[in-house]
Amino acid sequence: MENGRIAVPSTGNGGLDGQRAGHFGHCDVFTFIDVENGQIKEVDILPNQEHSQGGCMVPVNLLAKNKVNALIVGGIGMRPLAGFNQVGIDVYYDAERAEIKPVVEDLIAGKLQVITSDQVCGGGNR
Amino acid sequence: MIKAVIAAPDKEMLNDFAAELNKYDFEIIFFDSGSDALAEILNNKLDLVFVNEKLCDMTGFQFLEKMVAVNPMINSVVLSSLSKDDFHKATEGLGVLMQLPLNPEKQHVKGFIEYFNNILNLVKKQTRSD
Repeated sequence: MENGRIAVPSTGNGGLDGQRAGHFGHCDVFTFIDVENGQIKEVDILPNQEHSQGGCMVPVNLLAKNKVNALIVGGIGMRPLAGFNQVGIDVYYDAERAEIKPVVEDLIAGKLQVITSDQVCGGGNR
Repeated sequence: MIKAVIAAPDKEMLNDFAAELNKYDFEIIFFDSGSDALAEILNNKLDLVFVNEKLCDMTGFQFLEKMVAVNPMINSVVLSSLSKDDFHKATEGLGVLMQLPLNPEKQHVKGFIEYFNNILNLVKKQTRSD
Protein backbone atom coordinates (compact mmCIF):
# COMPACT_ATOMS: atom_id res chain seq x y z
CA MET A 1 0.00 0.00 0.00
CA GLU A 2 1.44 3.35 -1.02
CA ASN A 3 -1.21 5.67 0.38
CA GLY A 4 -4.34 5.32 2.46
CA ARG A 5 -5.77 4.61 5.90
CA ILE A 6 -5.55 1.19 7.55
CA ALA A 7 -7.85 0.22 10.43
CA VAL A 8 -6.98 -2.50 12.95
CA PRO A 9 -9.55 -3.65 15.54
CA SER A 10 -7.64 -3.37 18.83
CA THR A 11 -7.90 -4.17 22.52
CA GLY A 12 -7.49 -1.63 25.33
CA ASN A 13 -6.01 1.64 24.13
CA GLY A 14 -4.77 0.27 20.81
CA GLY A 15 -1.91 2.05 19.06
CA LEU A 16 0.85 0.74 16.79
CA ASP A 17 2.48 -1.17 19.66
CA GLY A 18 -0.87 -2.49 20.92
CA GLN A 19 -2.72 -5.76 20.51
CA ARG A 20 -5.31 -6.78 17.94
CA ALA A 21 -8.87 -7.74 18.92
CA GLY A 22 -10.09 -11.13 17.75
CA HIS A 23 -13.63 -10.01 16.91
CA PHE A 24 -13.71 -6.78 14.97
CA GLY A 25 -17.25 -5.84 15.99
CA HIS A 26 -16.51 -6.17 19.71
CA CYS A 27 -13.10 -4.45 19.75
CA ASP A 28 -12.42 -1.66 22.26
CA VAL A 29 -10.94 0.76 19.75
CA PHE A 30 -9.86 0.93 16.12
CA THR A 31 -6.24 1.87 15.53
CA PHE A 32 -5.96 3.98 12.37
CA ILE A 33 -2.65 4.03 10.52
CA ASP A 34 -2.27 6.65 7.79
CA VAL A 35 0.19 5.67 5.10
CA GLU A 36 1.92 8.07 2.71
CA ASN A 37 4.38 6.97 0.05
CA GLY A 38 4.60 3.55 1.66
CA GLN A 39 5.54 4.96 5.09
CA ILE A 40 3.53 5.26 8.31
CA LYS A 41 2.66 8.94 8.59
CA GLU A 42 0.29 9.07 11.56
CA VAL A 43 -1.46 6.79 14.06
CA ASP A 44 -4.87 7.62 15.57
CA ILE A 45 -7.35 5.85 17.81
CA LEU A 46 -11.13 5.74 17.40
CA PRO A 47 -13.32 4.20 20.11
CA ASN A 48 -15.65 1.50 18.82
CA GLN A 49 -19.41 1.99 19.06
CA GLU A 50 -21.94 -0.18 20.86
CA HIS A 51 -22.26 -3.54 19.15
CA SER A 52 -25.56 -5.41 19.17
CA GLN A 53 -26.47 -8.74 17.62
CA GLY A 54 -27.19 -8.13 13.95
CA GLY A 55 -25.79 -4.60 14.09
CA CYS A 56 -22.98 -5.49 11.67
CA MET A 57 -23.45 -2.39 9.58
CA VAL A 58 -22.64 -0.04 12.49
CA PRO A 59 -18.84 -0.64 12.31
CA VAL A 60 -19.04 -0.74 8.51
CA ASN A 61 -20.58 2.74 8.46
CA LEU A 62 -18.19 3.95 11.18
CA LEU A 63 -15.06 2.97 9.24
CA ALA A 64 -16.46 4.21 5.92
CA LYS A 65 -17.26 7.56 7.53
CA ASN A 66 -13.68 7.77 8.77
CA LYS A 67 -12.32 7.21 5.26
CA VAL A 68 -10.69 3.83 5.94
CA ASN A 69 -9.30 2.08 2.87
CA ALA A 70 -8.16 -1.22 4.37
CA LEU A 71 -9.12 -3.30 7.40
CA ILE A 72 -7.07 -6.13 8.94
CA VAL A 73 -9.09 -8.83 10.72
CA GLY A 74 -8.51 -12.17 12.41
CA GLY A 75 -12.07 -13.20 11.60
CA ILE A 76 -15.22 -11.67 10.14
CA GLY A 77 -18.72 -12.77 9.20
CA MET A 78 -20.14 -12.96 5.70
CA ARG A 79 -22.50 -10.02 6.14
CA PRO A 80 -20.02 -7.44 7.47
CA LEU A 81 -17.48 -8.57 4.86
CA ALA A 82 -20.03 -7.96 2.12
CA GLY A 83 -20.79 -4.60 3.73
CA PHE A 84 -17.12 -3.55 3.73
CA ASN A 85 -16.79 -4.65 0.12
CA GLN A 86 -19.86 -2.60 -0.76
CA VAL A 87 -18.46 0.59 0.79
CA GLY A 88 -15.05 0.05 -0.86
CA ILE A 89 -12.97 -1.07 2.13
CA ASP A 90 -10.54 -3.92 1.37
CA VAL A 91 -10.46 -6.55 4.13
CA TYR A 92 -7.15 -8.33 4.84
CA TYR A 93 -6.69 -11.44 6.95
CA ASP A 94 -4.18 -12.58 9.54
CA ALA A 95 -5.36 -15.01 12.18
CA GLU A 96 -1.96 -15.75 13.66
CA ARG A 97 -0.37 -12.64 15.10
CA ALA A 98 -1.80 -10.66 18.02
CA GLU A 99 0.47 -7.64 17.58
CA ILE A 100 -0.64 -4.70 15.46
CA LYS A 101 2.69 -3.47 14.13
CA PRO A 102 3.92 -6.54 12.18
CA VAL A 103 0.60 -7.06 10.34
CA VAL A 104 0.46 -3.38 9.41
CA GLU A 105 4.03 -3.51 8.11
CA ASP A 106 3.16 -6.60 6.09
CA LEU A 107 0.10 -4.93 4.60
CA ILE A 108 2.14 -1.90 3.57
CA ALA A 109 4.76 -4.24 2.05
CA GLY A 110 2.05 -6.07 0.09
CA LYS A 111 2.57 -9.30 2.01
CA LEU A 112 -0.90 -9.65 3.54
CA GLN A 113 -3.69 -11.48 1.72
CA VAL A 114 -7.20 -10.19 1.13
CA ILE A 115 -9.66 -12.42 3.01
CA THR A 116 -11.39 -15.05 0.90
CA SER A 117 -14.96 -16.32 1.21
CA ASP A 118 -13.82 -19.63 2.73
CA GLN A 119 -12.14 -17.76 5.58
CA VAL A 120 -15.31 -16.05 6.86
CA CYS A 121 -16.88 -17.13 10.14
CA GLY A 122 -19.75 -19.58 10.12
CA GLY A 123 -20.01 -20.65 6.49
CA GLY A 124 -19.36 -24.31 7.26
CA ASN A 125 -22.44 -24.68 9.44
CA ARG A 126 -25.09 -24.21 6.77
CA MET B 1 -42.73 3.44 6.94
CA ILE B 2 -40.58 0.30 7.12
CA LYS B 3 -40.67 -1.77 3.95
CA ALA B 4 -40.35 -5.46 4.79
CA VAL B 5 -40.61 -8.85 3.12
CA ILE B 6 -41.97 -11.94 4.83
CA ALA B 7 -40.60 -15.05 3.14
CA ALA B 8 -42.45 -18.11 4.43
CA PRO B 9 -44.20 -21.15 2.95
CA ASP B 10 -47.53 -20.51 4.70
CA LYS B 11 -48.87 -16.98 4.37
CA GLU B 12 -52.12 -17.73 6.19
CA MET B 13 -50.27 -18.75 9.34
CA LEU B 14 -48.54 -15.37 9.48
CA ASN B 15 -51.47 -13.08 8.73
CA ASP B 16 -51.82 -12.08 12.40
CA PHE B 17 -48.08 -11.45 12.62
CA ALA B 18 -48.22 -9.19 9.56
CA ALA B 19 -51.27 -7.37 10.95
CA GLU B 20 -49.40 -6.71 14.19
CA LEU B 21 -46.41 -5.33 12.27
CA ASN B 22 -48.74 -3.07 10.30
CA LYS B 23 -49.65 -1.36 13.58
CA TYR B 24 -46.02 -0.22 13.77
CA ASP B 25 -46.13 1.30 10.27
CA PHE B 26 -44.66 -1.67 8.41
CA GLU B 27 -45.49 -2.29 4.75
CA ILE B 28 -45.35 -6.06 4.23
CA ILE B 29 -44.91 -8.07 1.04
CA PHE B 30 -45.27 -11.88 1.23
CA PHE B 31 -43.28 -14.46 -0.75
CA ASP B 32 -43.28 -18.23 -0.37
CA SER B 33 -40.13 -18.82 -2.40
CA GLY B 34 -36.63 -17.61 -1.74
CA SER B 35 -35.97 -16.87 -5.40
CA ASP B 36 -39.00 -14.56 -5.65
CA ALA B 37 -38.02 -12.78 -2.45
CA LEU B 38 -34.46 -12.33 -3.75
CA ALA B 39 -35.83 -10.83 -6.96
CA GLU B 40 -37.78 -8.31 -4.89
CA ILE B 41 -34.63 -7.44 -2.92
CA LEU B 42 -32.68 -6.92 -6.14
CA ASN B 43 -35.29 -4.70 -7.72
CA ASN B 44 -36.69 -2.66 -4.84
CA LYS B 45 -35.46 -0.84 -1.78
CA LEU B 46 -36.26 -2.80 1.39
CA ASP B 47 -35.44 -2.28 5.05
CA LEU B 48 -36.03 -5.68 6.56
CA VAL B 49 -36.66 -9.35 5.81
CA PHE B 50 -38.46 -11.89 7.99
CA VAL B 51 -37.63 -15.35 6.73
CA ASN B 52 -38.89 -18.76 7.78
CA GLU B 53 -36.18 -21.38 8.37
CA LYS B 54 -37.66 -23.37 5.48
CA LEU B 55 -38.91 -21.98 2.17
CA CYS B 56 -40.40 -23.89 -0.74
CA ASP B 57 -37.19 -23.76 -2.79
CA MET B 58 -34.36 -23.38 -0.22
CA THR B 59 -33.74 -23.09 3.50
CA GLY B 60 -34.05 -19.71 5.14
CA PHE B 61 -30.33 -19.81 5.92
CA GLN B 62 -29.39 -20.45 2.30
CA PHE B 63 -31.67 -17.57 1.39
CA LEU B 64 -29.82 -15.27 3.82
CA GLU B 65 -26.44 -16.22 2.35
CA LYS B 66 -27.71 -15.23 -1.09
CA MET B 67 -29.33 -12.05 0.25
CA VAL B 68 -26.18 -10.91 2.06
CA ALA B 69 -24.20 -11.40 -1.15
CA VAL B 70 -26.50 -9.10 -3.15
CA ASN B 71 -27.43 -6.59 -0.43
CA PRO B 72 -25.71 -6.79 2.97
CA MET B 73 -27.42 -3.62 4.18
CA ILE B 74 -30.85 -5.24 4.67
CA ASN B 75 -31.56 -6.41 8.21
CA SER B 76 -33.04 -9.83 8.81
CA VAL B 77 -35.06 -11.82 11.34
CA VAL B 78 -35.42 -15.61 11.16
CA LEU B 79 -38.57 -17.47 12.19
CA SER B 80 -37.12 -20.69 13.52
CA SER B 81 -37.69 -23.54 15.95
CA LEU B 82 -33.96 -24.23 16.40
CA SER B 83 -32.39 -24.21 19.85
CA LYS B 84 -30.33 -21.15 20.77
CA ASP B 85 -27.03 -22.97 20.09
CA ASP B 86 -28.15 -24.51 16.81
CA PHE B 87 -29.54 -21.17 15.69
CA HIS B 88 -26.22 -19.48 16.44
CA LYS B 89 -24.37 -22.11 14.38
CA ALA B 90 -26.84 -21.81 11.51
CA THR B 91 -26.67 -18.01 11.32
CA GLU B 92 -23.10 -17.23 12.38
CA GLY B 93 -21.69 -14.44 10.23
CA LEU B 94 -25.01 -13.60 8.60
CA GLY B 95 -25.72 -10.71 10.98
CA VAL B 96 -29.26 -11.80 11.86
CA LEU B 97 -30.99 -9.37 14.21
CA MET B 98 -33.12 -11.84 16.05
CA GLN B 99 -34.71 -15.29 16.16
CA LEU B 100 -38.49 -15.39 16.46
CA PRO B 101 -40.73 -18.46 16.76
CA LEU B 102 -42.31 -19.95 13.63
CA ASN B 103 -45.59 -18.23 14.43
CA PRO B 104 -44.72 -15.04 16.34
CA GLU B 105 -47.31 -13.53 18.66
CA LYS B 106 -48.03 -10.00 19.77
CA GLN B 107 -45.42 -9.95 22.57
CA HIS B 108 -42.72 -11.18 20.16
CA VAL B 109 -43.49 -8.32 17.81
CA LYS B 110 -43.27 -5.83 20.67
CA GLY B 111 -39.87 -7.20 21.74
CA PHE B 112 -38.61 -7.14 18.19
CA ILE B 113 -39.73 -3.54 17.60
CA GLU B 114 -37.85 -2.38 20.70
CA TYR B 115 -34.67 -4.14 19.53
CA PHE B 116 -35.03 -2.93 15.94
CA ASN B 117 -35.49 0.67 17.07
CA ASN B 118 -32.30 0.37 19.13
CA ILE B 119 -30.36 -0.72 16.01
CA LEU B 120 -31.90 2.10 13.95
CA ASN B 121 -30.97 4.62 16.65
CA LEU B 122 -27.31 3.47 16.54
CA VAL B 123 -27.26 4.10 12.80
CA LYS B 124 -28.99 7.49 13.25
CA LYS B 125 -26.35 8.48 15.83
CA GLN B 126 -23.69 7.89 13.17
CA THR B 127 -25.62 9.94 10.65
CA ARG B 128 -26.07 12.82 13.09
CA SER B 129 -22.33 12.88 13.86
CA ASP B 130 -21.45 13.26 10.15
